[in-house]
Amino acid sequence: MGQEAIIKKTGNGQNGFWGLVKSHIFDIFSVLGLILCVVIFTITSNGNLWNAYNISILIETVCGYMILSLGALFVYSMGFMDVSVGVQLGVYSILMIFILNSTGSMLLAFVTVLVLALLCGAFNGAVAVWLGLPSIVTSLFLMFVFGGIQYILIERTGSNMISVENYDISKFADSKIMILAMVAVGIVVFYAFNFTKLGKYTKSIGANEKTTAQCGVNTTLWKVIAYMMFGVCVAIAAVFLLARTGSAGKGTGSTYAMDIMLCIILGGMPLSGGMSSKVRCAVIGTLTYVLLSNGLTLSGVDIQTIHIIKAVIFLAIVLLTCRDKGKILPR
Amino acid sequence: MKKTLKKIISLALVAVMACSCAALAGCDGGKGEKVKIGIGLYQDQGPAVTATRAFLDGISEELNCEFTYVTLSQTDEAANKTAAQQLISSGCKGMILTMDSATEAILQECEKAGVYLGGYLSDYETSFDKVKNNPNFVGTVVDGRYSGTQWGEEIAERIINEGYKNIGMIKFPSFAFPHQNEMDTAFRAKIEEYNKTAADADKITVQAETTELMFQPLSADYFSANPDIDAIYGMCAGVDFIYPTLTQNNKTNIKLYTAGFSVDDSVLSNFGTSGNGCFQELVFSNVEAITYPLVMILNKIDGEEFSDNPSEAQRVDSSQIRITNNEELDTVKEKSMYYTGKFENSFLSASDVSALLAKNGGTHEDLVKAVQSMAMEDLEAK
Amino acid sequence: MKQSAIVQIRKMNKNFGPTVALKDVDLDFYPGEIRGLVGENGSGKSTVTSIMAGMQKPTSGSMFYNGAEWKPESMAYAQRKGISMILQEANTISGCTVAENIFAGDIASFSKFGIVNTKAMNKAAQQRLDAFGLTRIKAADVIDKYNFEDRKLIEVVRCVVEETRVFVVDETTTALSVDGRKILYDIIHRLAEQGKSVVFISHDMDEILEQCTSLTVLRDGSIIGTIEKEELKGAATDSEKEKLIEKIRFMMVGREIGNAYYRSDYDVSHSDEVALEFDNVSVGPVKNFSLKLHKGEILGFGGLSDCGMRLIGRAGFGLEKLSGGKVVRNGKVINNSITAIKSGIGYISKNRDTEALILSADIAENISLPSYSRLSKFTFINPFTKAKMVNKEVDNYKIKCKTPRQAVNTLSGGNKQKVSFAKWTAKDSDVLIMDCPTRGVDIGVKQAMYGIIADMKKSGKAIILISEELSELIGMADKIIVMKDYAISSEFMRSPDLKETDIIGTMI
Repeated sequence: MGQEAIIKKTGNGQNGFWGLVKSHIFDIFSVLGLILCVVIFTITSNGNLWNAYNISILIETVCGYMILSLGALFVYSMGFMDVSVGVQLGVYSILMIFILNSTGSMLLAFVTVLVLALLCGAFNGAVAVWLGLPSIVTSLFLMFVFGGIQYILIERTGSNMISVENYDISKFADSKIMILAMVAVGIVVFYAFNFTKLGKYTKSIGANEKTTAQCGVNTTLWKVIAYMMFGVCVAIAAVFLLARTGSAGKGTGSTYAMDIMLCIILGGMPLSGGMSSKVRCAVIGTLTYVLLSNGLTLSGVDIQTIHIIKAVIFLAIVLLTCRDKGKILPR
Repeated sequence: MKKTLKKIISLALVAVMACSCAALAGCDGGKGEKVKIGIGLYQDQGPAVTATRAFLDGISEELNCEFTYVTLSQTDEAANKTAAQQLISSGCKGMILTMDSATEAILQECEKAGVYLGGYLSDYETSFDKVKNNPNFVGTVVDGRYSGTQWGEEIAERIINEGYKNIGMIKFPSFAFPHQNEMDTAFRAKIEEYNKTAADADKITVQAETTELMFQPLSADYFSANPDIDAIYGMCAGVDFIYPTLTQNNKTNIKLYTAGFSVDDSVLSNFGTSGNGCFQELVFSNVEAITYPLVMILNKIDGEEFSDNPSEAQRVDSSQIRITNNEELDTVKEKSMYYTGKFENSFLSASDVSALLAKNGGTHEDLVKAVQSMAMEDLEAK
Repeated sequence: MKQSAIVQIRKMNKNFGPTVALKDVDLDFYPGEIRGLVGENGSGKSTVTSIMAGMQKPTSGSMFYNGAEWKPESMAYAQRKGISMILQEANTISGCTVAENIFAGDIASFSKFGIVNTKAMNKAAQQRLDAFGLTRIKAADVIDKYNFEDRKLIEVVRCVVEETRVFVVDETTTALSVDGRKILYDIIHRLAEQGKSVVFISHDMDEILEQCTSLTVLRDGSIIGTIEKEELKGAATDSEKEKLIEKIRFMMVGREIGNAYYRSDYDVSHSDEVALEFDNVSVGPVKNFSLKLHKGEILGFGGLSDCGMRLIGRAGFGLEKLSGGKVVRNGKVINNSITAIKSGIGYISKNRDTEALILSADIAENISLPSYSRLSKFTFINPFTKAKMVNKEVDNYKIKCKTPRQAVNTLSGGNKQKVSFAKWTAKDSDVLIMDCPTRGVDIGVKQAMYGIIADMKKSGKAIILISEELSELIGMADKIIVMKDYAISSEFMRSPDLKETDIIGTMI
């Protein structure tokens, strides 16, 4: 006990301006990172970063990532992750094409996909708890199952990819609609994350599940709700993803699972979740990630170097944000 | 304190690295008047890539062009659209893509930005009919011949002449490579015709149902299912998908007639009469075929048109190099840019290409002829 | 006439960044004495002894040992030279044998040409264990076989060697059972008889008075005063002892604690209404446990560390799976924490930092967490309503913080404990089960908490107080239930004549 006293006496330097800086160090770094990207790439791309065409494609790329990252906040703040997002998106795109081509009804397509996404969310949230497994196992399982489904669905069609024929999906590719969607989802997520039980509970489950359970929170129920919230965002993102090309194939969506993780982490979200999870992690992170890819390409860096740079930055950020508790990897 | 310091240092390192990479890259940003053309390949390395780059590097100055490369995805159209968008965004006036993926969406982007799209070593099977009248689409040059029939017959002839009696048939799935079906049908037809007049002892047996490789290498149980074969007609890329399995299962006595090429000695030293003599035919297309879409695009950018310009975009065959014996292999090794990776071995020089442009008096007929005069005979004559 | 001091500490200062832990401390330790060192958390008592024992270096000042300047490089060095110290935390090496632990750092003396003579080492180790009266511990066993207390004792055997001249015991007794403590007391008395010097740090006043020959009080890094042998041993009657304890507390805290430390009243009345009932509950090794807790009653649970009272506490909150019987409140069966909380039960775990609080969250969040169901209206949690509730609790408990948005891990132990109390008062819980609620808490804060608990009883709350401190139970509970071997052993009603000795008999 004596030693505890010694340590405690030294810990409390959170005074004044520098205290404020220290406690918000991750937020500051992530914003700085974004600003740095913007400045560097404006210069190296000779201003091409800001021409009207580039802005429109930035919006188009950011839209899907942003909606997914915002939804993923709930899952990541609990210290979990979901590797099945990518293949889910692929399957949803394909299903939507089938439904659109046979009925022409966007509403039906969206509702179908939404229901599926909610089911997957419930599966991810509940089954792991019931079976006593880390949640990554259920999401891996879903990843394999959906991957197989995606492959088979395309095989059955007899071609390499299928397209939307019966419906004008390009209206969802309009910049204005995309911005509207992002803002709307952003507002809802911000509200949920900061002013409702969902946000409070997911953060405390991530920080200390035992204590949260001892405060009368049904942790299983809220895990399911969190994953389902993510599922809603996945369904919405699927619509916008499909609208980009109007087609889907065997590999559609596959990169998103890891990309989302990169986005959120670049925004300063600790992998173990907890109290320091913030909505701005998703927002700033997504912007930084997309800007990074776009800016590097515009500056003429070749694709292999871009991969390396992304990997290095990812590693650096993980090292910076992992918490000492030893719970570095998501459960 | 130490920990915070470590964190600050690592972030600073990353920032420096990003800066330097970007700066290095930004160095070649001195534009001037050069026309920027984007090239989308589906691999980022290999002899085809090396040769393509060498060719384009070689002609860039004469044509006053600057080429930017991106790698396309075989499965993810959204990624390909993104790649195309990046090209447009970085100032490309035209792009040449080796894959028919998200083509319509990409063309929409091109229309928005006033950019032109051409195809390279691809038959644009899926979207050609939809886009051939699009003013921003300049047409495509095929990977060899559009129809597989002729090669199927050529291989059948070789088999008959070289005396193999039990032929295995392997190809890629129909939906991905429909023309391999044509090769298959033509081959079988020719063999059947032969069998009609052949003595019983000379009849050739062909594998009843062609094996389809799902873009995975041939599996070892192929040999248990087909124990007596003495030759394989590999319509797909046999170097990567069939040969390794042969080696692993000690079946290199089976002769392989396939599409594809490699600069690897492990392949070439086993060709014809050399080494284990497994490879009997290798085929590849010339990277110089990219001249077709390139010239068509440059014409559009210059605002010029051939006097004999076709009314809708064309799908043009290009010459293929068929290597059928060791002498031909030596010729390739000596004279083909595909093998050497050097521009000096190119079929077309920079001025040759420049002369094909509309503004320099070229015609569509000349252009087509240029990309169709690069077969083995032309190589030998170089 | 005092003998000359074995250890002399002059003008010692120790700073941790901006925090001053020791301020110009002058201290002497004499042979043949058992010096108690008392003070609140952060008073410096552990700091000064740890510097003396070689654990850390002072910022300034000097030490003399046997007349010569003393600058130990490490604890191992200090131990070799004769100053050893044992701490509260575990300090033995898992996976090694008892003998290896005892001779840790000194194995070379048993090895020839790199090969350890295990037989000789074990023999020597066993001899030492026997000399300490620990014959039941076998030197050849792997140490993991033994529980925390035995491992502590083995540590003692390791630390107290021939050469030991000064032995520091830093808050070790809390981990030991009555038997273990007895062994430790024997050891330190023997050392004192041999003319060695013992420094004894503890929070337990009674223990200090019993065992020590003199007593030094520290507060905020300075020496306040020393109570010499005559005064210490001079307090013979209970009332004299009380007075002495009050004086010591005054020195420790710097102000009048006042008479009211524990409850001053002896009113054991409570409502007839049953707040929580254990109906033939069997959980773990506890079988057929029945008990009724009433509104306005403080029920104390006492016993040795592993007597089953902890399990009962957890079962009352629905944290344990019952193998028989049920826990009932207001007709509802309590079988998990959610039903428990819904029916108004609160639980303060002994493992405060891991179970009762979320350290990385701020004070407001911790206090509000159980109350969100109530605060949330149509999914909206009004931050103003929340802030109002939180501020009310912070004021009520006088939680020392700059703002309730401060993270809980920056608070002192006492304030942390206040936060875990506040959680349940914010929720207006009617039944509170607390497990060692004042553990590790300073006297001043303890007093405040006892006041809160007394107030809770007055306002009709039902409280189960599980504690390892007998004086606390005697001071606060209406009824004390003693458990032994997983069953109720005896019951005592609150009374001014109740003594610790009465209770101890039924515990062992």
